[in-house]
Amino acid sequence: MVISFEEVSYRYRDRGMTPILGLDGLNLELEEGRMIAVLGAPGSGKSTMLQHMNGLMRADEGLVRILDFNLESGDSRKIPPKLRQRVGLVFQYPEQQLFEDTVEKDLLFGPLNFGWSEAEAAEAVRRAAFFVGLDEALLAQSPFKLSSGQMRKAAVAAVLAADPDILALDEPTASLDPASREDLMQRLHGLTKAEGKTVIVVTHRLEELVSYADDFVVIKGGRVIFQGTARELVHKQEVLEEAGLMAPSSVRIAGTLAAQLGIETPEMLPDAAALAAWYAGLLESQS
Amino acid sequence: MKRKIILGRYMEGDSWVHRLDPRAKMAAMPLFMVAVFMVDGYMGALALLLFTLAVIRGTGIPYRYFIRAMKPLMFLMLFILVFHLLYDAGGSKLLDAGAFKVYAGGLEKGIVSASRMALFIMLAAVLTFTTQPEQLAQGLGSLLKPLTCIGLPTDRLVLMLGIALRFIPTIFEEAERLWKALQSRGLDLSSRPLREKARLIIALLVPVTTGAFRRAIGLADSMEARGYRLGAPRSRFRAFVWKRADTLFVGAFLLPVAAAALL
Amino acid sequence: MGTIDKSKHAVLLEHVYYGQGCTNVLKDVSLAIPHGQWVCIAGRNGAGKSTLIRLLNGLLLMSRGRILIDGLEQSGRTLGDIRRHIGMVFANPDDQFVGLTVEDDIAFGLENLCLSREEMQHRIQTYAERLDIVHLLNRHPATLSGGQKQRSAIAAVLAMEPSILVLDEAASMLDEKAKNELLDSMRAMHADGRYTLISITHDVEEMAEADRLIVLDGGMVTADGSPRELLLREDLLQRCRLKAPFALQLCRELKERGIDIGELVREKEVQEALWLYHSKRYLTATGTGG
Repeated sequence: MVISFEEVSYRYRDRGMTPILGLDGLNLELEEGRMIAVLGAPGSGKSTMLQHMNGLMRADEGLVRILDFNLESGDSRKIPPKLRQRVGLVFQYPEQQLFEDTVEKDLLFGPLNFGWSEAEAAEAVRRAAFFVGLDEALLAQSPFKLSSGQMRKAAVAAVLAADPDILALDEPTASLDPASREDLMQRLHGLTKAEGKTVIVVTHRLEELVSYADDFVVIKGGRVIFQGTARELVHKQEVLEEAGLMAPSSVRIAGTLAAQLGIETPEMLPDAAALAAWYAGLLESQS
Repeated sequence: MKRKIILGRYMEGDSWVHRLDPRAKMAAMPLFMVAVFMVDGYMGALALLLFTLAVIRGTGIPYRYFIRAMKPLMFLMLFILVFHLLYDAGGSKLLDAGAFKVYAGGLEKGIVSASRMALFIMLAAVLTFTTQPEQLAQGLGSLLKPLTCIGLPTDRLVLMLGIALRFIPTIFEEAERLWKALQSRGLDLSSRPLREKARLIIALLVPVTTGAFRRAIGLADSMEARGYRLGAPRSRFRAFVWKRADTLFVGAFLLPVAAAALL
Repeated sequence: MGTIDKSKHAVLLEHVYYGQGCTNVLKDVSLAIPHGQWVCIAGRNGAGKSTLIRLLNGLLLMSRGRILIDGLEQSGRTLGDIRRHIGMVFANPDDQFVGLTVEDDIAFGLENLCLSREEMQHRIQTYAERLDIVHLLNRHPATLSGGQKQRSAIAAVLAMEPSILVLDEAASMLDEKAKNELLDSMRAMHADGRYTLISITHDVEEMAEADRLIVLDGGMVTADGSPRELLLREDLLQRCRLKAPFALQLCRELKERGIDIGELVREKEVQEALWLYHSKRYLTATGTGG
């Protein structure tokens, strides 16, 4: 178990008259080396949960275990830098958080903060840039001269450069074009397969993760209301509804057709090939 | 750190104080200020306190929020009190502990001075807790309206103030996210030499400023696309209606003034 | 070309250029969009899509060419009028709110039109009902979800009663459900017939629904036609960094399995085609069998 939340609650006390519940006795266990999709409507507690993973937020109640760190509620000791190094957090629109005058300096920022030598840090930066597919020639440029897709890659690389074991990203594909989205997901998936890292992606697009993530977690009202595979999730209409998601096109089409034919909705991987195969089988059995 | 400051926040509610014309609440403030400055004894302070508590009760907002509003200034109030205790030697001697002597006059002045501040903060909190920022801006605009004839562009000022109120929280949020992102990347300012600290803080202003500019451009586009032109005539959607309750409310503030003058 | 009746078109562009310095962001763009058409504009980032739509209402000023909106020639003097004809919804729902509540934000545009208070109240009510945001009128924008924000922004724009509605990647920050609701609103507006819709989007499912697809590349129009045809072209999709719509992917997968239902781009049509194909097969099967 690489991450575990046990009965974790968190309240926002600073928004108006009554404290707002961020997490409400949340229980969650995530395994190492997998790609995990976290889904949920706005305000469901996804981002709050993410920020508990490296101690930016501390639980009011319950226990958060990350790698070999235990973060108990009420413990106000300083967060060890080692935790921050091993759990990389990529915030929404991370390109807006680039601040140095060259991309390279920005990427070096993390590794140097964690006390690496110049040579180690430079090597880590090159590796990170390679992993996200950022051309090395761009390293010497100002981040503000890059295209939006490149800026996003640079910002992800800036976190990846510290070589975290866990990489958590808050809507990393927001406002990217479809091809860049797919490219980023593929690369993140590669991190889990090639490097054994754990990658957690908060998203509100099910389709882009359906073929990559191993594990799906749906959050509502600060609690986990679903954890399982894509195959299980796409058929749970109420869960999808709660998370502001739509069943993928293939499931919708298969569902309607099954209803018209008066047969049970088939369980299948939500992609075009699977649907076509099912339909072909259907015709076969008919004739 | 901005989260600790509660004064200036709007608290949703539907009390009669919430429903008052913002201009009435704003007009009451200077009257109350006069009363606060005229107070110079226990009785006057007590009368003002009772009056303020009555108004607070009318807002329907729990007392503890008003106490929290005072918290950041608690230290200053304490300082004022102690200052008077130590240096004001009027009236009878209450306590004599060698170098440390407390006089009745000093005690009274200390308490009255400290409570002046407390009273004023409480009433300012009543104003901001019960009035939406935009209404404050518009109320201010309409109170300043007469100044248009000496060339003050009040409409523009009100719009600017409204936009500032609308965007300051967003920009704060963005700055906070930036701060958190950098903490995640191992930023620990306390361990850095002063020069390095200064350099970093200046560097961090870059994304905050570009963010603010990006928003400003987006907003300008949206305003222009919806037909806004500087200086062009516009009608007004929000019109304040001055009701009898508003007159009574402002009139009621003559009470503390009278009390402060007489007691 | 010169004989086109200008007022027939909601938007008419003739040889429009836009550029800063020696680089042209838009080069020789000519377009005619008739009233009531639903047009999607596609292209990779930096292709000039946002620039193009910002030229329409003069948020950016063209360097060369002619632009006519509802027959009105764009110039410094007509800009105010033209902006009444065009309503614009932007990608970032946060940056387009001027008012501190939804109601005040809708009122902002109406104040610019110098409407009376009664008329404002009437319009706010009408359009809030139409976009189902009546319960949100008193809310602060920060307390709304992304979908609610965009619906409010659309209400604010529609309340000004424009004839042309321009959406600049309006769905790009929304979740799937909100995106679908936005698409529903667009369908309703299109069916209404009063509006010309111009939408910049990366969403192929939305393009499939439109009457017309315009593809921009390097500041020029590289393709302009029916989405049913253009979406079949792999080269275009690649150039715009898009993926084929799911319906089309399915048609192709089926074809590989010897099932030919044609090449369709809309989910609904594929759904119907699958049912029809199945029924036919069933009938022939039972027909020959019996």
